This record gives sequence, structure tokens and C-alpha cells, in this order.
Amino acid sequence: MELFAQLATIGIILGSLYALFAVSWGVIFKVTKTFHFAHGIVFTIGAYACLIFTNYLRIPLILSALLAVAVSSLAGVAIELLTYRPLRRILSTPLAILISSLGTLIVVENFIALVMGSDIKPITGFHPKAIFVGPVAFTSIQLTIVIISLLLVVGLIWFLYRTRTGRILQAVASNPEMAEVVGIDAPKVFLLAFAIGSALIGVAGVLSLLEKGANPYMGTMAVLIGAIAVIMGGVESIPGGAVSGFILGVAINLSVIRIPSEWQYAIAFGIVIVLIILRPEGILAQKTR
Amino acid sequence: MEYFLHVAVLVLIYAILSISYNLLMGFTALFSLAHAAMYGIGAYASTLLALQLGLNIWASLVAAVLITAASGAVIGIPALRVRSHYLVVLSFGFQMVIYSLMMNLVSFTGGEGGIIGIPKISIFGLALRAKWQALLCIGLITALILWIALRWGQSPFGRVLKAIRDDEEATRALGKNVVSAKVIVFMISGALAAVAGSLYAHYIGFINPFTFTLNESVFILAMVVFGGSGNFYGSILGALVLVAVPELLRFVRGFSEAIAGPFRHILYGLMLMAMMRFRPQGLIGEYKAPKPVPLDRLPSEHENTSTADPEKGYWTALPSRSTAPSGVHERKGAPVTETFLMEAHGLSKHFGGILAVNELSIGLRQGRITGLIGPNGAGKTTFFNLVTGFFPPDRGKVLLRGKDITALPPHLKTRLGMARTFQELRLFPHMTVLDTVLVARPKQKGENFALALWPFSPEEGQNRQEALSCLEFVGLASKRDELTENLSYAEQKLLSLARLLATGAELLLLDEPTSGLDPNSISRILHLIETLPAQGKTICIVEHNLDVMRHIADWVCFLAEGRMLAEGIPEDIFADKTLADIYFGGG
Repeated sequence: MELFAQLATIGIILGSLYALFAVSWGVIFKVTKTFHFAHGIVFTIGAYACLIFTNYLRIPLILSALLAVAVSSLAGVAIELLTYRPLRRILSTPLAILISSLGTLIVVENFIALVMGSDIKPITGFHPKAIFVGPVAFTSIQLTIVIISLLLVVGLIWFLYRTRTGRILQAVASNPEMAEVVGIDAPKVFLLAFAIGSALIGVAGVLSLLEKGANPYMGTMAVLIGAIAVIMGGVESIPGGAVSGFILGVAINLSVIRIPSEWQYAIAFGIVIVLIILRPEGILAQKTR
Repeated sequence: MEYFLHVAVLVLIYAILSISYNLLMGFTALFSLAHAAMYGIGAYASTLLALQLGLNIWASLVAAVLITAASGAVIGIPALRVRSHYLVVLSFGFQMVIYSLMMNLVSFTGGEGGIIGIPKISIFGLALRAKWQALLCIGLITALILWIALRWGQSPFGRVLKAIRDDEEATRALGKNVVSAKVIVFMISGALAAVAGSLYAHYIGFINPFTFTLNESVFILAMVVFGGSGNFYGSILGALVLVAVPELLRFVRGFSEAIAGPFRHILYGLMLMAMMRFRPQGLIGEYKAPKPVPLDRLPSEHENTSTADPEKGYWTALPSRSTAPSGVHERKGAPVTETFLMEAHGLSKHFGGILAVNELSIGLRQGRITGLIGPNGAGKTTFFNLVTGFFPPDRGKVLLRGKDITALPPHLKTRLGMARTFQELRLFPHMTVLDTVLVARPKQKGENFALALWPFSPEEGQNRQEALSCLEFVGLASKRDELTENLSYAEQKLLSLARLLATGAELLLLDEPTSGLDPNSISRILHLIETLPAQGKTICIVEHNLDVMRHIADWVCFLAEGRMLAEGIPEDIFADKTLADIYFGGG
């Protein structure tokens, strides 16, 4: 029981982060239909930006974190402007955009590895407190991860479904041509989607840095987990993606009770494959036809 | 010297990998991140069979190829049901599972340490110890694989793959079994990757999981992108450049592996981005630029055959049909029967809360042109989608020559002689005009991947002739080597008609064949359609242009809100004031 409680706690921490990966990737995918591999590098950029601001420029941590989120948001917008938009203009296929996105991820992560080295870099002078609740132990930063991630996930869903700007994003997501007809500037809305999604994944990057340090290749897994969760949840549904991400994180950790930990990813991905085969419309989607 | 021979062997092994990946990504636009997993399955299967069961290395190779082909189906079969972006995730999951198995099934795979002492390549018990012998042997196998791949690429099988790449739905509408083609391409691509894996294992004599990572999948992708998708010589070029150039970088001083690794990856990544931006077809593209046709051979058929006076509008150029007696028009040469070739009974279809088609019954008379008209949202295109099987109807039956075909998938309906065009055309933009028509020919034996290897089949020549005559019929024969995307809109509409005719189907469903065209082109297309009943075709046409309907249709069905409001000869339908009010929204 104690083991279960401890694993469930770690699962909730991981699940909150996965939910954030999912909604941040999902809002970009849903609005722009771009398979945004380079979202992973925006995650890494967020972590390294915060690392540089704090460790090298000696900026206070909270301020560094906010600046890092701004840098991530700008990085995502820059990727849209410099990579995807020119490709859309020459009517590239979705496959070409996907390959280009993968290229962007590879270039920037290896550039970071060249400049910063490929070892794990922790943030200096930051010591999270340990918190004990009954038999369960976690750190203050882990608690922060859960609170901030879940607040942002819920906030994004509220924004998308309850505000005017959110509805404009939804309109472009469902039909960009029609949205243009009613006077919505679709390219601008694309930029907004990239700015929001990138800021969110930047937050995830900073949180991951605080928990486990940064390394140049941390982004690949983040983007793939995000994409898996979105597809499991049904691409049309941002809340579905958030829930799938959360479940994925919890399930991967709880599985350790029964199976050796080195197997957990094989089994998690095996289950994902089976789920995608059985419910291609998403685990939470209702059958519409 | 030994070192250069070694690099040459590696180039050959990667050439096999990139050729096999090209079949998936270049030909069929199936983006998989699991190609290294296939390579790994081949390597481990061959190694284990040779070591544990003591099989001869060639027997291990063949068995490994079969095992990997079966694994290919594991990705291929789910990929049928899901859209392209799912495949990225699915194949990534597969790659991770296989990698994890290699790492963790320690009693079989040796885990991180891998397997050593793998038997070397040998022929009749003679081990090929010298590097040049191994190079020669692997070179011959690579040449054989290149030959097979080239055969596939040029055969009807390859053409179907390219059609799927350009437009899956349209390929299905031409009567092709898209489902089996996709599974097969995953299997054969995996099988070829397994050859590379097996050769690698038996050449190096040692394998571990780090050769078969996600990065390796991306590396193989980079070769295909660089060399040229859809071109196997490009794959070899890609393997040569991407394997040999980094090896040469080793000779640059002061370039430690810690720097060289990321540096190499930056180059790959930049290359991927630059290729997509400036040369998405790769260094050697799929098609050469078309040879210019000599002027004296240019037929004059193409430009402005119409005598229409643009001032007066297109209908002046059309033959007058007002002399026909009331009732259905008599048409010279057409077999006049009043039997229904196709009947739809009580079709209904909901989309969410909207009833798009409601208890609709329509019969199409053999040898006649039946027109469907009605305001937007009347259910005309939905009717096409229901009868051709693109959507299953909620209720109702579709009979073709009296047989119930309601439950058949679209491609089987096309094979029974019922084919359609699409409002949005759905041509194959990256195929040539001739290939676009050629792919539509029915019953091509070469669409089977095994039969495709036989190079002396007479059917290809016959199908070419048929396809050319379809192009001549619509007046596009001189454009046969152009890429479809380079045609004008009017030419694309004509090509869509030629592709439809090439299916040989008896019942042709035309969805707005004249929309968006200028009067000259409209009149040209109508002339063509009018001649079709004389060739034994039955036509159903959806059209918004009432003048077009008046001139071409023998029978008109008026639909509104998913129901049939009236049917009859055009004169009667168009004389009806109530229908006109509904159509034009007047009151």
C-alpha cells in the first residue's frame, strides 16, 4: 500500500507534466495541422534558457523562469515563421513539413550539445524541500509541477472553450478557409497557436529542469509523449489529450508494481499501439457515425 | 585499403536500407520511424537462427526476411485504419518496443552487450575472409535488390503505390485495393531491410542494440530525402554521400568524436530542412523533365476546337435537341433499353443530427444520361458517396444489374463497372498525365508485387495503348509526359474524365464535370460526354448549370433536402414553376 501510494504520487507528477506536453502540442496540431516535431526543441530551449539565465547571468530564479517562457514562446513563433510558413507558401505536402520539423529538432538539439555539452546540467543554488505526507515523500518542486501544470491545462481548456479568442482558434481549427471568409486572419491565428503552445511547453521545460536538470536530447521524448497522448485522446479533443497524458504518466509508474522497471516503456508503448489500433478515433471520443 | 573496402560495404548495406525505405516513404508517402527496428529484427533474427539453431547463414537470412516481413504487417495492418499522423506515433511506439526488447531480453539478445561471434558470410562452406570477397558478395546482393526495386517502381504495382501517395481515396475509387497494397509495401520494405540487417550481422560478426536506434531510422530517412524520393538510384547516392562523407571527416585533424557526432547530426538536420525548402524531390527526382515534343508531331486537337461564340455563350455551339419527341430522347447508335443498370432503393444517411439523404430511390437507365439537380445541400454528392461505398448508408439498398452491392467496399464496386469522378478532381499531382490514366486500367496483373517482377508481360503495352486512346479522346495525348500538377484547370477536368474512362466502367458518375470552367471548355467537355452513351456507357451527372442539364440529360431527377421532389424529361422539369422557385430560392 505504501509502495502503491508512493508510485501513484510519482505517477501524478509525471502525468501532470505529460498532460502539459499533450495540450501544448495539441493546441498547435489542432489549429495548424502541423505535426510539430520541433515542439520538442522548444521544450529544451525553455530549460536551457532558464539554466543560462540563472547559472550564468545570475538572474533570480522566478524572473529567469518567466524570461525562459517568453524565449520559448518566441522560439515557437520563429519556427512557424522561418520554417513552416515558407513551406506552406510553396504548397509543401504535410510529409515535407513534418520532415522539415524533424530537421529543426535535430539541428537545434545538436547545436545545444555542441555549445553546452551533452551531459545533464542541473540548476545551481536551488534546493527543493522534501515534504512528507504520511508514508509518501515528494519535493516542493514536484508539488509545484503538479499545481502549475494542472492550472495551465485547465486554464488553456477554459481559454479555448470559454473566451472569444479561444473560439476564433477553434474556428480556424475546424475550417481555415471558412474562417478567412468571415474575416479571421488565419496566419495570425496560427502564430497565436504557436505562441500559446510554445509558452506552455516552455513552462514544462523549466519545470523539468528544476526537477531533473537539462540535457540537449530531452525534447524528443517530450514531443513524442505529447503526440501520443493527443492521438490517444482523439485529435479533435484537447481535454481528451490532457486526460490521456495524465493517465499515461500514472500508468507507466504504477506498472512498476507488477513489472520490472526496465520493461515499463516497452509495455506502455505496446499498450499505446494496441489502443490506437482498437480506438483510432481516440479513447475518449464518442463514435460520431 | 582494407578500410576503404569496409566503408564500401557499409555504403552497400545502407543502400539496401534506403532503397527499402524509399518504397515506403518515397513511393507510398508512409512515414515510418521504425525502419531501424526492421533492420534490427532482421539482424537479430538471422543471428539467433544461425547461433541457436545452427542454420546456414543463407537459410538464416531467408528466415529473418520472412520474420521481418511478418513484423512489417504488425505496423502495416493498424496503419490502414488510421490517418498519416497516427503512423508517426505508431511507428515510434513500435521502434521503442523493439529497442526495449533488444535491451531487455537479455537471455536472447545479450542486452546492452549484444551478441558476439556471429558466423561470417560464407558460400558453400567457404568463409569469405577477405574484405574484397565480402564486398563482392554483398555488392551482388545489393545489385539484385536494386533490380527488384526498380522492377517494382516501374511496374503497375509501383504506379498504384504512387497513386496512393498522391490521393488514397481517388485510388480506391479507381478499383484498387489500397488496404492490401499498404500492408504489402510495409512487408516488402521490412523484408528488404532484414536483408541489410542479416548481412550487417554476418559481416561485422557482432551486434548490439545501439545500431538500431531511433536515430538510425532518421539517418535512413535522411538518405532517402537527400538522394531523391521515388528514385532508387537516388537512394544509392544518398547512402554513398551520407555514409562516406562523415567517414572522410575522420581524417580531419582535431575533430574528436564528441564534436564530430553532434556536428554530423547538425549537417543531416540542415540538409533535411534545406531539401524540403528548395528541392523536396531530392537530388535525383522521380521524373526527368519531359522531352520536348517536336513541333510537327504536335497534334492540333488541343486548342479551341470549339466553334462557340463567346459573345453568345456556349449553348450556341451545342447541337439542338429540341427536335426530339417528348419522352426519352432517341439516340443514334445507343442501345435503347429501358432497363435500369443501377437502382438505389430507400437510401438514407445521417451526419450527426442532419439527415443528408432521406429515403432516396433513384434508377439509372442503361445507355442514358441521368442528371441530378437541386439546391446546395440537396444530397447529390452524398448520393454518389453512398452508391459508390465511400460512406455506408444507414438504410437502403444499391443494386447494380439487379445484384445487391450495398455492402461492398468502393474498390470492388468500381471493379464491377461503376466509377466516379470527384468535384475536387482528386487527380495524382505528382504523377505524369499518362501514368494517371494508366493506373486506372482494370485487372492489371502487374499490380501484384510478385508478378510485377516479371519484365516481359504483354499487358503493359496493351494498357498503354488503351490509356493513350483515352487521352486522345479528351485531347490530352500531347501532354502525356507532363506532371499532372502542371496542367491548367480545364485540362485537369479533361484528365479526370480520361482517368474515369480508363477504368472501363460501364456506369459513370460525374460530379460537376463543368463547374469552374469557361464556356469554351464547357462545350468541349459536353461534346465528349454526349458521345459516351454511343460507346455503351450509362451516365449519371450532378450539375448546377441548368443549361448544361437541359442540353445533355435524357432524364432529370430533382433533389431537395435529401429527397427526390420530381423526375422527368428535362423539358418538363424545367417548365415546373414550383421547382424553379425551390432551386433559385425565390418565393
